[in-house]
Amino acid sequence: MSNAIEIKNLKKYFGKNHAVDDINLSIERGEIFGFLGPNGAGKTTTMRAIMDFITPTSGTITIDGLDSKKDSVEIKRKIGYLPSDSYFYGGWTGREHMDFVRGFYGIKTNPTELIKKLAFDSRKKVKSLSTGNKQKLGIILALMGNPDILVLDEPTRGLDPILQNDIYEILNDYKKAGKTAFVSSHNLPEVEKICDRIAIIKSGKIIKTTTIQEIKQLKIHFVTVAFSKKIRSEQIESDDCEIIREIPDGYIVKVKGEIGPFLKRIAPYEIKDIEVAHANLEEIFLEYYKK
Amino acid sequence: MINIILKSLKQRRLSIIIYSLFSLAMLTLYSSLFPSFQAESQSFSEVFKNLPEAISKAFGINQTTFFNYYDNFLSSEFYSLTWPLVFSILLISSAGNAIAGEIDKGTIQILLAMPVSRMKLFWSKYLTGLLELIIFIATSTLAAVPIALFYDISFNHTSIYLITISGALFGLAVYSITFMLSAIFSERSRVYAISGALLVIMYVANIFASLKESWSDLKYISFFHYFNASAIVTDQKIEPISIIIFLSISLIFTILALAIFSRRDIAVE
Repeated sequence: MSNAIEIKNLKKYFGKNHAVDDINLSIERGEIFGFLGPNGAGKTTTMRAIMDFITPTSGTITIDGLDSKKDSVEIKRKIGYLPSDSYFYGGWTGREHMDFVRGFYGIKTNPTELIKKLAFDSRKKVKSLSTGNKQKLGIILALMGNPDILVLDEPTRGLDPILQNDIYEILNDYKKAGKTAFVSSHNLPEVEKICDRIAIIKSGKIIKTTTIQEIKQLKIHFVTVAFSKKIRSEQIESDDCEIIREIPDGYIVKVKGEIGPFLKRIAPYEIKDIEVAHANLEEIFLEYYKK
Repeated sequence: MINIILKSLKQRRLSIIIYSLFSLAMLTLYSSLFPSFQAESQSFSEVFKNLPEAISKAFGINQTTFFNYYDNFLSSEFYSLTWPLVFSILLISSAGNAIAGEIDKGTIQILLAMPVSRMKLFWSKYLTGLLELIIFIATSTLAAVPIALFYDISFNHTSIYLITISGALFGLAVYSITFMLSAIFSERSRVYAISGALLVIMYVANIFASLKESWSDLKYISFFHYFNASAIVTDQKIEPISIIIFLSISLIFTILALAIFSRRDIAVE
């Protein structure tokens, strides 16, 4: 059985700008796949190529074994898409948008439950809706065709934590139903909560594809250590650690990998106080970007 | 496809109503004034006879029959300039909004994410504008018949039907050119600016062509030369070359627009 989304050697160049430069991704059925990277890394371009908004310079994208260019209409029946910036017809209500989208899918679609779950007022004109409510409408429209695959471009950007959690819940329900989601984000704690695997994209190239568990195992510790006597930085620095800041009587040190060797190195000195903190996913992520 | 056409018409309904009502009001106004002008036609004819021929030609004034007949009067006063100008503005606004406007506003993303091919999307949008053209033209020409009846004016209906057809062809050509521009650009303002400039250039070229013999060839680049309401009324026919020019331009630019829209990258910023 083919993968839900298969991207092979995808390139998209806009003149000299290599927005996406030879990327490969395989997203399996039933997984929630996070696509991480800063602004301009190529996340949105990749998603637009999946949706056939733009034509790749080269490479192929297949969705459920169907070609994204040739079978674009068939593919869009399977995909629910949420753009990074959702725009709507200002003079219409949410309900009018839903009726319009329903016209493409037939009467099988009924967003009543979603409307209820998201506490969305579908009678209000879109121009009077807040950013959060517009995003709710975008989510409702993306899910209306009962898609097998969701392509969500930064679905929680600009939302408050309560709304973010609503969207995480929807995605979890979606995953439980055995469906697939491809979600872009710059928010690592978010993908940590919802994704099975992630790919990190930088300057149009995939720099890492990994599971959330694996990335968590790439340990980074922040050690705040104070000594009874003055210790020079050279006495504790090595390849696996880096002094971030000097503090009164000590240092804040970033230790990559196992912490044991570092602790052994500072054990001979008289320690007044020590605090060890695990780096969060974001800090691990930033570490990748330094490469 | 019907879904998109209905949606687009719904969005454009206010413009269609306002433009059609404006045109209807102008038509009613001119019709109400016609009997008094007709009564004074002899004196007006004398005045117009003294006008330089070039001026009369440039502004579509038939010196002998200008105020004698209702269809002559309307063709000179209303259908020669005001009318094509009004529906050109309506059509430029419609075509500009159809693609470039949707990209400009970002709403094209909703349409492109739906299970519908670009070709269907194109034709849905294109047909919406054609419907606008038909509604406007029908309202603003065929209404002359009941309005004339109301003011007890008798006239040659054929003139109005010929003007309807010729105006529709003119509108189709303007619409097709603007639609192609809409398929190229991502901002409505550019589409409006270029289409507007093209119309002004064509109008000025037609005026210049009638002012000086050496400039007369300029008329061939102007739609206003191929759409001459006064000549249609006088000759009771549409010149075949006008039909060929308008239909060819419409066909070429529509095909180009479809080819561009089907292939172009669409990215909302």
